[in-house]
Parts: sequence; C-alpha cells; structure tokens
Amino acid sequence: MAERLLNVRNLDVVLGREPGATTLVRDLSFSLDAGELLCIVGESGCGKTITARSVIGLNRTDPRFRLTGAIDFDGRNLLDLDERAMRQIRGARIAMIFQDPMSSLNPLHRISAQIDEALAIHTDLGKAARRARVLELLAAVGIPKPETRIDAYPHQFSGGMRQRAMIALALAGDPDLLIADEPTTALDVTTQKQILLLLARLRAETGMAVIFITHDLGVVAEIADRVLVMYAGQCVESGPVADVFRNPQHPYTAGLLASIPAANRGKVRRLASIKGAPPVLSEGRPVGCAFRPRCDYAFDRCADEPQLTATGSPDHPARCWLSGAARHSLAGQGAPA
Amino acid sequence: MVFFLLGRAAGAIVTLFCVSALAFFATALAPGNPAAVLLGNMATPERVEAVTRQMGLDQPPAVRYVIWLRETLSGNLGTSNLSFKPVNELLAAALPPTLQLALTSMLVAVIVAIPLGLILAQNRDRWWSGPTSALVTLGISVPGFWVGLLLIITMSVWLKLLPSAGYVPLSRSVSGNLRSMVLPVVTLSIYLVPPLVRFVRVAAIEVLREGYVDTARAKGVRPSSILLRHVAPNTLITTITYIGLQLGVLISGAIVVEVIFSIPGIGRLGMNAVLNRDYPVVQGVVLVTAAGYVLVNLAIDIAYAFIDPRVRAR
Repeated sequence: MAERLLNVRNLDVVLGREPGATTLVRDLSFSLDAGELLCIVGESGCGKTITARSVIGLNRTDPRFRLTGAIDFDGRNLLDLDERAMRQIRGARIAMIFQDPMSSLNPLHRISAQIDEALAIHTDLGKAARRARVLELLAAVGIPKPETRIDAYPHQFSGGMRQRAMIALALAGDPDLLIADEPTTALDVTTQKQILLLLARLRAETGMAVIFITHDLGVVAEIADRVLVMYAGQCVESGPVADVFRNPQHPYTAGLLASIPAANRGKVRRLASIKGAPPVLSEGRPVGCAFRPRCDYAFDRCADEPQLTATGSPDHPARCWLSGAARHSLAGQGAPA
Repeated sequence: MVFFLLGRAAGAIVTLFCVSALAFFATALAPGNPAAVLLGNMATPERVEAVTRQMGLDQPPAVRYVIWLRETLSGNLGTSNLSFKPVNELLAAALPPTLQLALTSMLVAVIVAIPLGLILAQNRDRWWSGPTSALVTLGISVPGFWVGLLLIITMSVWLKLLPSAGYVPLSRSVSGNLRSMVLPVVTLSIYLVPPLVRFVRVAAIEVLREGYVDTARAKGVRPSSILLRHVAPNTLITTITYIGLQLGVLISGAIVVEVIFSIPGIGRLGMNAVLNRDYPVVQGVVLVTAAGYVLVNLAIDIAYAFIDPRVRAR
C-alpha cells in the first residue's frame, strides 16, 4: 500500500491513565488516496470526532490523551512529528471544519482577519495579496458580493454563511486533506444541501481528499467514494460506498441503513431503529463483540471479539462472526422486524 | 451603540441620585448629635440646642435633604463641622493621593493578574498549575492589612529601604513620591491580585473550550498567538466586568491602606469624619466615592464596545 495520501495504522486513542483509562479509538486502520472522499459514519460517541481530531493532531498535546499506532500522511508518521512540524501541516496540508459554525469563528475578529491569519502563517504573500486571496476564497465558497462582506464580523453572518466562511478559511492553505466533522449537522436542511454541493464542487476543483464525518447515511450515499462504519471506537465495516450500501456485511451497518427515513416509504411500516444505545466506553466495553447487546443476530460466538476480516467483495472488510450466507441476508432488509 | 451608551449614562445618573439620598439619610438619621460632639462634654443643653438650630439640624431630614441637594448640585458640599474648612477643599486635597494609590494598584494588579491567570489556564494540565492555583487561593485568604504590616516591618523597620508612612506629593518630589507609594501600592495590589487571577483563570479555561480555539489550532496558529489573539480578548470581556465589581474591594482596601500608611487620602478623611460625626465630610466622601464607582463602570461599558463588535452593533 505504498504512497497513499493518508494511512492510519492500528490507531489507539486512550483517555486518562491506568487504572480507569478509556480506549476511545481502538485498533483503527484506514487509508485514503489523494482526491478521495471517505465518509466515517456511526452514532454519537463512537469515536468519529476523536479520530478526526487525532489525524489533524488537535488532541496530541492534551496530556489526558495517549495516541499510539501510526498516522502516515504523505510518507511521514504524524505521531512522530514534533508540535512545531505539526503546526506547519495543520491549516496548510490538512485543514478542518467543524460542526457548529456559530462557535467555530472568533466573535471578536473580522472574517477577513480570521482567514488572513491562516494565509499569514502558511504563505509568503504580502498584506495586499493576502486580502486579494481572501476575496477569492470568499467568492469561491459562494459568498455573494464578497467585497462588501469581507470585513463583516461572524455575528453578521447566518449559519450557512459562517460555514462557508469556515470552508474558505480551511481552503486558505490549499490543503491536500480536508476533514469535515459533521459540517452540516447544525444547519437547516436547504443550507445543508448547499454546503454539501459546495464541498463536492470544491473537492472536484482542488483535487483535495476529504474525510467527511456524519451520522446521516443519506449524505454518505450522495457524496462518498468509500465508507468507514465505526462502532464503540472500532471500525466494524468499510468499503466502497455502493458495495457497503448494497451488501452491508455487519448488522450495525444494516441497522443504520434500515433507519434512513425515506419519503417514499410505505405509511404502514414504522421507521426501523436500532434498539438500545451505544456503550459508554468509560463505563467499560462489552465483552466480545461490542455490538452484541444490541444485535438481533448475536449468537454464542459473539462472546469472543471478532477481528476485521475480508468478506466476499474486495476491499470490504467487516468485524462480525456471521457466516457469509447469513450476512448476505442482511442486505436490503436491515434489522429484522 | 449610541443608544446603548446613552442608556448606560442615564442609568449612571439615576444611580448617583439614589446614592446621594443614601449618603444623606444614612448620616442624617444616624444616632448622635453633631452639635453635641462639636461642643464637647462640658456644653450646657441650652448651648447644644442653640448650635443645633444654628446648624439647621432642627429641620426635618427631608427639608435638609432638599437644601443639601440644591447646594450639592451647585457645587457646594458644605463646611466641615470639625475644621470649618469647605468640604470641597478637603476633598480636593485628599483626592490625588487616593487616586494615585487606587489607580496604580489596579494597574499593577491587572498587569500581574491577567497574564498569570491566562498562563495558569493554558497550562492547567501541568503539574505546577495545581500548587500555583492553591497558592493563589491562599492569597485570597490572607488579610491585606496584615501583609501591609509585615511589609512595614521587613522593608522599613529591618531593611530601612522604604518609608513606613506618609505621602509625598508628586509636585514636591517625584522620587520621594514613588518611594512613599511602593509599600501602599504593593499592599493594596495584594488585595486585588489573587481573586483576579482566579477569575481570569476560570474565564480563560472556559474560552479555551470554545470552538474558535480549535479553529485557530487547526489553522496552525502558535499556542502563544492563540493565547494572545484569541483567548485573551475573549477572556477580557468577562474580566472587565469583574474588575468593575472589584472596585468596591479597591475602595475599602484603600481606606485600610491609607490608615496603615498614614496617607492623607479620601479613605482616611472619611474615616476621621465618621469617628467625629462630621456629616458634611462623610456625605462628600460617600458621594465622591460613589461617583468614582459609577464613572469607572460607565467607562467599562464603553470599553465593552471597543472590544466586542456585538455590543457595538446594538
């Protein structure tokens, strides 16, 4: 697997010290080619955000966290870099946008100043050139009449506009990888759609790779090349988006797929849901398969922890003891009624 | 923003009126007759009554208040019952030392406490953060006058480095003035620094959890710049309010410090006036102090508008 843009290998993220330490992300491996869009999906609290923050290194200096494994980015293990070297990657080669555009911009600084700060750090441009670049970026993310809006403060922008400004800020360093942590969750539905289309267009224009974190499988179907399904800090299934949607290999994925609301669904059937809630990892991880307490297909063997193993289709591993035939029946029906 | 400031200014004027009434009635209704104090133990009842009438103290308090308010608004605060000097003159003489003491102490406290609080917040996970914060809490519990006395013993009595008492006006000798102010300013700052450090630390920890701090880090901003450009200004918004509230501590602390170090300021003037039932002076001191409090808080409201664009928009 030489020369992929990002190659995360056996990443463990542990919160706190022994005893009482909690493994928030466990033995997570995934990779990403240049220009590829990977969606990480799962319920709240399954480790998606922690994974994203680990890749860009937002939690590496936090003494409460311990990160082990490897995060190879463009041939270098980011976990081995010192904070200084990591700062040169953050905002330049890897950028991130966040869930809540209301709080992710500094209320006291003008939009222009916030984008300019990134340009000043990562480019050699002079003051005037930076301002011209800020205008370009704001125009690129679809802010109308950017020359009149450039010196606005965040509170003068709507939520969607703020997220656009945030995206402009992320693009300032011309990143190879953009991490988008539920960037549309806090927005209303029509704005969500606009932001998704914007991200898709910018990705096509710039050729950057994107890690898109969401719990909305409808979004995944629309934009993803590949999907990584996380549960309790582990990857339970990953693969090309069409393959995973057509042939889910893990009951959790099947359950998530079955619980997508669809406008054309018959009125009789209730919207399916996965019973129970994901484990709170700080209170202990379930023995064996972490999904076992909620799984309709659980059997004796699930008391042992399954490994991520190859399934029938290429590049589509899953972490489940079910036989190939049993898994085949997961497709289409989701969780049994 | 104009409306915001006009509103605050109107509020300040109302506050001052309320304070004037409080200042007047609190003293006018207090037990004890100033005429009797003035004449001493040997005075006959007839003499006391005559002086009482002469001073206008036989009138009902409401009438006296209206007269007093009219005089005050025209700039006349009356005459001291004790020294027979105009209260205006006494206040004018006492104001400079107090202003110098209070403002310098506040400045020193802010310069020390804000960076310290920010650093403690940013390094809250380091091993030395806990002990330092505990030390700060200890500082809150130490009475300021005790620190003042310790400083006098060590710096003046033992080491003979600095004068233990007295005030040298700036106009007479700059170096003498500065030497006379060192110990009082240090003592008064010690009143202010620990609570301010604690407040800034908590406020900054709150700010460090904000999304825009993550954004700044994701941009690749250096931690020192994050602290200076993003955390400090946002922390300042709440801290400024707190400083306004701390003014009360500053004023009461100034009284104690002026007494300990024999500084002829407002605090000492007020205290002597209270002990001698010198009502016009007490009223003048309360009024001037309250006006200072209100003015500083008005200035703080204006400062908000400078720091926070959301306030400017109002």
